[in-house]
Amino acid sequence: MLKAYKNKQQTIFIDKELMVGNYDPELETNIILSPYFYWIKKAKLPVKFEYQAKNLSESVYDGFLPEGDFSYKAQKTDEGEFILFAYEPKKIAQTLKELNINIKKIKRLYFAQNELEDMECCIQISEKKALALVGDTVQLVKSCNITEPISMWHYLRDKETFSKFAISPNEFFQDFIDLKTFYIINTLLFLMLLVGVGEYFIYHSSYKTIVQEEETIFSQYNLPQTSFERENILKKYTKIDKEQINIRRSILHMLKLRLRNDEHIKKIDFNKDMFEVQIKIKENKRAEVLKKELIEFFDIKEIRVKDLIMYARGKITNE
Amino acid sequence: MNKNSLFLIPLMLVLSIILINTLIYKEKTKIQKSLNYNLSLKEQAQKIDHLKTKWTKKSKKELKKLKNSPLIQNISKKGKNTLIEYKTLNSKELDKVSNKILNSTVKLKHFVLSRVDEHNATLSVEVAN
Repeated sequence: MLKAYKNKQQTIFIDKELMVGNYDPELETNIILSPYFYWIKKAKLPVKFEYQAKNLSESVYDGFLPEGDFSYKAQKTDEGEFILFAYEPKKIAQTLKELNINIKKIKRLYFAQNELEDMECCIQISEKKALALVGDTVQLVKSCNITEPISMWHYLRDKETFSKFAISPNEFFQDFIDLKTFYIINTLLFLMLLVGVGEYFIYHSSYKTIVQEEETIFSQYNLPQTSFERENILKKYTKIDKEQINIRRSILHMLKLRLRNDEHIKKIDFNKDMFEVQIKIKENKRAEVLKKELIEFFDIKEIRVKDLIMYARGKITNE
Repeated sequence: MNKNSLFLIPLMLVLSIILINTLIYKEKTKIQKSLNYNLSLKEQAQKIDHLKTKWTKKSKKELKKLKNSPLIQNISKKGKNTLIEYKTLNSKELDKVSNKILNSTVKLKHFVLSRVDEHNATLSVEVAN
């Protein structure tokens, strides 16, 4: 299982405009960086941890490095002793791009210093370049002065283990992200924020206007503040409106009763929602007909006929 | 500035954008609620105003007009109301007067019509002041 997993990985070595190893862009890739890409410095520092040493790296390297945008990494070798690596993410990224290396598949980037420090002899990387240990530092040299040097290709083929000290892709990409892109993204985000703030203030002022409008309605119509009071006022006037319309409609119904020519209303009396009517009729049978007509519009409480005068009393109904 | 802390800038910007959009959403909701409230308040206010004018100001004006009729025999106070008693009216006058009363917005409390003979009648109306 482990072998199968390992088989899905590959290791390549990169130098300036040079890649060594069988490269498949679809496989996860470990990359060993040539000393061309980094500087190292051993330093004794009054700190305990690597991250503290890393923070001091810039001042340790002050004046030693050429112009460039450098990132740093610190490796603890002994108590208070560190190897400080300085590298240019942009430069590495540029080379990766030129060599058509699939950035998404990069697993780790290793420094040749860590991976080759135990090499027994010189390693040939091309016809004109080789790596050799000078003291305890891995350095680029023109060629190996031995008869049968190991080639980098063979070295990579046999390499199975790596040191724990490496640059993770996340860390790396954070470092080499193009500052221009970074500023463009930030500017766009800032513009979005500005638009948002502007939009917020527009909505806020609209809200204020609406609240002012609300106050205007209150003062213009002289309304009480509570909805309970307003509803009571509306109820009161709606009741008056309904009552008055009803009484008028009822009087009209009464005045328009279908009477014969020889019949007439003697008296009508509407008091609030009650009414009384006296109708002179010609024969008692007519009382029944008129009663039917009255029932259509009124709630009849009493009806009687005396001496051909029909008396009716009742209540006005709501339509 | 540390490069890692540089990445706090877009993060802060994104968080600010989220915050401002939340505030915008809240303002929009408040506006929507206020607009609905204002609309119902205005509707209610207009209804109240219409009915109040109809049954108070307009009602008083029309009562004044009614009182000026030459067909009135007597006007008297009856509690808080006014009692208007008309002279004996013929059918034509009765139609005219009763139409005027029924088409007006005076607050009718009591309406009594009594026929004197086949062609004449008396009318008395009690209206609220």
